Amino acid sequence: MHPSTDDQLVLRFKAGDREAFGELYARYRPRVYRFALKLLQNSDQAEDCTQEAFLKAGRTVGGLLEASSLRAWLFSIVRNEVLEHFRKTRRNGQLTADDVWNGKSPHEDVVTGETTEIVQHMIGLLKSEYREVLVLREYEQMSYTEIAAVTGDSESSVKSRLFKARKALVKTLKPYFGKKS
Amino acid sequence: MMKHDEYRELVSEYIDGEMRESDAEGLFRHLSTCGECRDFLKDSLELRSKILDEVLLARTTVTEPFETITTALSVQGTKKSTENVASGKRRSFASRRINVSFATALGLTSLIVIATLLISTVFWLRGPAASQEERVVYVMSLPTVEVQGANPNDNSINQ
Repeated sequence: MHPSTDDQLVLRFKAGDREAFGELYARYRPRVYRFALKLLQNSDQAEDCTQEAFLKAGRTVGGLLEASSLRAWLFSIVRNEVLEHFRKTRRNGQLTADDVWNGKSPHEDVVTGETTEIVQHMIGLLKSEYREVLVLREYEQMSYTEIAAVTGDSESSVKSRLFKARKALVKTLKPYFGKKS
Repeated sequence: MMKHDEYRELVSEYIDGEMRESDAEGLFRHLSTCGECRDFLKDSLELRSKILDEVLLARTTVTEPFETITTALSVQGTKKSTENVASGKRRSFASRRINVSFATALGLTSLIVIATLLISTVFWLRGPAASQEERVVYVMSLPTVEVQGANPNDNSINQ
């Protein structure tokens, strides 16, 4: 039996089938959680934001007009939860023109381990504005249009932030590239 | 004339499959003459490869704590339950519902019954032996009493 599409599941849920939301939850929860985890760098907080996001999604999915935008819609909900968390804890400083790093520069941070771990560590040091577009692009394979729908920014802003994030990471990680991870 | 950073931004678009066709010719002409921008392309692809390594690794090692949210949605009227789920509070083990198949439940119940029977049988068998041992200790602790005529080799009565 073929698994139901997102459209079918949303339609079933709108028709009162709660099992359908369970399927959507099973399908998207790991990815939504990973996105929250990459932004928050804390598993408990990511778990809280994910649960809250799915509760909100469950209450409001009836109002979703296009099932095809479900993924972007879900990620935008969890992103709002994460931003709300940042606002409460006053984390993550304001975006400055050329500064993509969050707090201390990666050059001050001596990291050892496998290249894959070092790459993850460096991604974690990016400011959330840069990290979120990189995570949505590389982990979720979202198009610039979808990322813009999640973040509420223009596509040109998404494109620019992705480039700056990559440029900063490539510059920092260049010494580690070419090594077997 | 475009600067290197503008070409590198095109490289970023190119690896994402988002570059316009009209930009392709200019970018590839530049890449054919600029080693630094070629390095940026190579390093950007390596960065993607390292990120994908982590994704693949996570897929094989991460086990998600999967607690269905439909329960929380179906009891929205029950404020306490919804608040507990929303606040991420975990339910105590005693109040947690465990879903197992009928066959598993039957197997577990049978195991418990068999284990109980075995344990009680062992204790039942060991019980009398323990009592016997106690009796021996009791008898041995009594003072020795010599009864005349009790020994078949003793012929003193006949004499």
